[in-house]
Parts: sequence; structure tokens; C-alpha cells
Amino acid sequence: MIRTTALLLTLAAAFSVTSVQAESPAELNDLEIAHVAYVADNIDIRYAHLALAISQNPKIHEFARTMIRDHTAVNDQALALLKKIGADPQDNFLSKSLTADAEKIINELSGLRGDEFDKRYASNELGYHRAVNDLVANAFIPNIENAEVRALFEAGLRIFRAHESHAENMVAAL
Amino acid sequence: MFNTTQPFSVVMAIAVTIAAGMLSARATEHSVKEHVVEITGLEFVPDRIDVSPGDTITWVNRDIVPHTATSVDDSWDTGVLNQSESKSIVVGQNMTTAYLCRFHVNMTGTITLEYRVESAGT
Repeated sequence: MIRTTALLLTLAAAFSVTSVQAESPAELNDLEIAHVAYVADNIDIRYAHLALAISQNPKIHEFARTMIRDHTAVNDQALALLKKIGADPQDNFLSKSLTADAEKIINELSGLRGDEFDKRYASNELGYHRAVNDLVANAFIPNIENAEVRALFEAGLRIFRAHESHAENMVAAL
Repeated sequence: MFNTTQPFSVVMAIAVTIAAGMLSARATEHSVKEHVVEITGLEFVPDRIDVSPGDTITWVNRDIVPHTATSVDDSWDTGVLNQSESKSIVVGQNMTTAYLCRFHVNMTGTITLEYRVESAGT
């Protein structure tokens, strides 16, 4: 319990939590969690489009296309599920924090070229997937109340762990 | 009725040939197998299958993201399988046995080719 609390606090700090309205990621409700996931998916899709535009490395392109394909598929499933249960995702402190952090990273990546870009993109993908996967596994899934939403997150986590593993290989190869 | 002027040995040879053909057809019919590999949780399940030429392998995607089953040398490929889609491939002689998902290269599977020796009457 102490370890989990410590992990959640670490994750909150990692995402530059500045809002005073929320205590921790573990306290978000299902609709706020859905919003965070949707935002997190879209952020990775934005990174991938940037990689396709800047990188000349076929391996980077292959990974980026997989990120676009998979995160789009997961978001489509999430939207379909929310429509089915008649709910809208709710914006929250963590979604805002993730978006603000992503803007900084996109600005940084946009100024890089060649190997510098490829290495930074790959390391960011690894770090990003590690952080989000920890968040999903330790803060979100244990607290999601709706069984269908939880099942979608469990399926998503398996996919994103594969992405993390793929990113590890990519980092090692560069 | 057989022509009584034909030698008995010729009649028997024809009969044996027809019977052998029927048995062979029946044996082939029985030996061809259908194998199903489910893609779930970013894994091929089962990830190893024993097949023979002429068998059919069907890959079914149970995941929410698209996958492929593609031989490592690109000699065969299911194409993109979206959620709930499936594709069947007939096992060929000397088919490449190692395969992966083109989108998730850590997803791998293996086909073991067995060349069955059919016995008459089986």
C-alpha cells in the first residue's frame, strides 16, 4: 500500500501536477480516466506524425505508423464504449498536465534532425509508455468502476506494454 | 458385367486400381486438417502449431488493434487483420515456418511442417 501510494505520488510529480483540485491520479473517476487515456493516445499520435515528418529512418517510420494505427484503434474503441454507456469524458488536472508536457516535448523534437531526432523520439517513446503504463496499471485499472471500461483499459495496457517493449528495442538499436 | 473374354488378372488390376484410388481419396480427405490461431493480447495462440501440406491455417484477430501474420521472408502474408477479421492460408510444400506480425515485431509464431505418411485404409 505504501509502495503504491509512493508510486502514484511519483507519477503525479512526473506529470507536473499543478492543479489543487485533484489529489492524485487514483482519485479520478471513470470519465476523467477515460479523458486522460484519450488525451494520452492523441499525444502519442502527434509524436508519431512528427516522426514521420522529420525522421528519415525506416525503423522510426515503422514504429510511428504502428503508434498511429494502434492508438487510433484504441481511441475509436473508447469513444464507441462511451457512446454506448451514454457518457462524455471529463477534462481534469492530469489531462491538462499531460497536454502541457507534450507541448514542450513537441517543441523540443521539432528543433532536432537526423540521429538526434531519432534518439530523442525513441527515448521519449520509451519513457512515455513506461510512465503511462505504470499509471494505467497502478492508478487507473484498480479504481475503474465500470467493468467494460476496465476491460478496455486492460486490453489497452497489453498493447501499450508491447509498444514499450518495441520502444526498448528501438532505443537499443539506435 | 465384365467381359468374360478378358483375362482375370486384367480385371483384378483394374479393380485394385479403382479401390486404391478410392482409399487414397478418402485418406487425403481425412488427413487435411483445419488449424486456428487466435491473435489475442498481442500473442499468437497457440504460438506453435504442427501442420502438413494441404492443411489450412486460419488466423483470427481477437485484439482491438490490427495485426498481420507474415512469414519472416515475406513469402506469405495474411494481410491486415482488423478486429474480428480472419484469413485462411493453405499450407504449401516447404512453406516458411517462422512468422511475425509486421506491426508488432515482438509477436512471433512458428509452424512445424510434418510430412505425414498415409497408410491405406486410414
